[in-house]
Amino acid sequence: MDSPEDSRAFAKDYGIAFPLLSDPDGTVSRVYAGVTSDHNTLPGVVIIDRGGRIVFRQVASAKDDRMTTAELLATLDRTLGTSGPGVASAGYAAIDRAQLRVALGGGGVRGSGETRGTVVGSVAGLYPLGRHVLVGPWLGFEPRAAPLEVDAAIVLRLPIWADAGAIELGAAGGWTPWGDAGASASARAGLWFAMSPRWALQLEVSVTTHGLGGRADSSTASAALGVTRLFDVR
Amino acid sequence: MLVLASSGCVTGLHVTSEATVADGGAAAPFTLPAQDGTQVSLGQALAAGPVALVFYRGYW
Repeated sequence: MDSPEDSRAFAKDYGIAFPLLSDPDGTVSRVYAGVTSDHNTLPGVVIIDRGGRIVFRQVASAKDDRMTTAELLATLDRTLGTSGPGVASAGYAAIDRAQLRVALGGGGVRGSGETRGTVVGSVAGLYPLGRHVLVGPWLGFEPRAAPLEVDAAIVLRLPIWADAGAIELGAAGGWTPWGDAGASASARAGLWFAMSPRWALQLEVSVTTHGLGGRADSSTASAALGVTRLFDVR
Repeated sequence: MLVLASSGCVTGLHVTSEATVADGGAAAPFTLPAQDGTQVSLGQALAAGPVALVFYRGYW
């Protein structure tokens, strides 16, 4: 049973502006759609004209019978003689949202003539400039050569899986204050997948050079798995 | 105006109570709570235009 509170969270996540009504005891569902043995409503669509007359009614008996959004819009237009715009809600899609990413992984650092294993981490805030570009600050953590790396990053992405995911190529440049101190530059490639309008997962591989122009420099190659929290930035 | 009403989330059960409204007939009045805490009545919604009632269970 969806309470008004559940519906509020759902509406916020999905950018829904129309009323989401709760029918806790199933009274209205029983009258309009019918109810199953577990007291749940049958999924259905009822269209009522301005005069309060039912001009269309279709009740599904199985999950696959329910109307798609496109079918519902077409049915509304056909039944009411309208030709309204689609129900696009700007800012709903995960790919349109701002991102806070946290990632953790491992790799190898090459510096001073030797290669050592290391863990890597990152925290990034990325703002979308359209569907193909993300920009923002990027903090990298790598305990051996560069405990902290402060970068500005740009990510170019190719949406895939109906915009629920993206193939990404990124570059970042900035400063490493400790360890192999100096300028840093990195290149990364990754795969990003939105699980909901709030959360996504990403997998990335990257190559970073620390300490450019400093006393010592090193290069790190790593792979990391991360989670993205998404924010509506309309 | 599009209105969604929900009542649960289970599939594959038999119908125990058939709907009592019919195509072409008068819509039965109702008032239900919306996600913003307000009470929405069918009459109020109809004053703004035709109404699409979508009954769903869970996310489908």
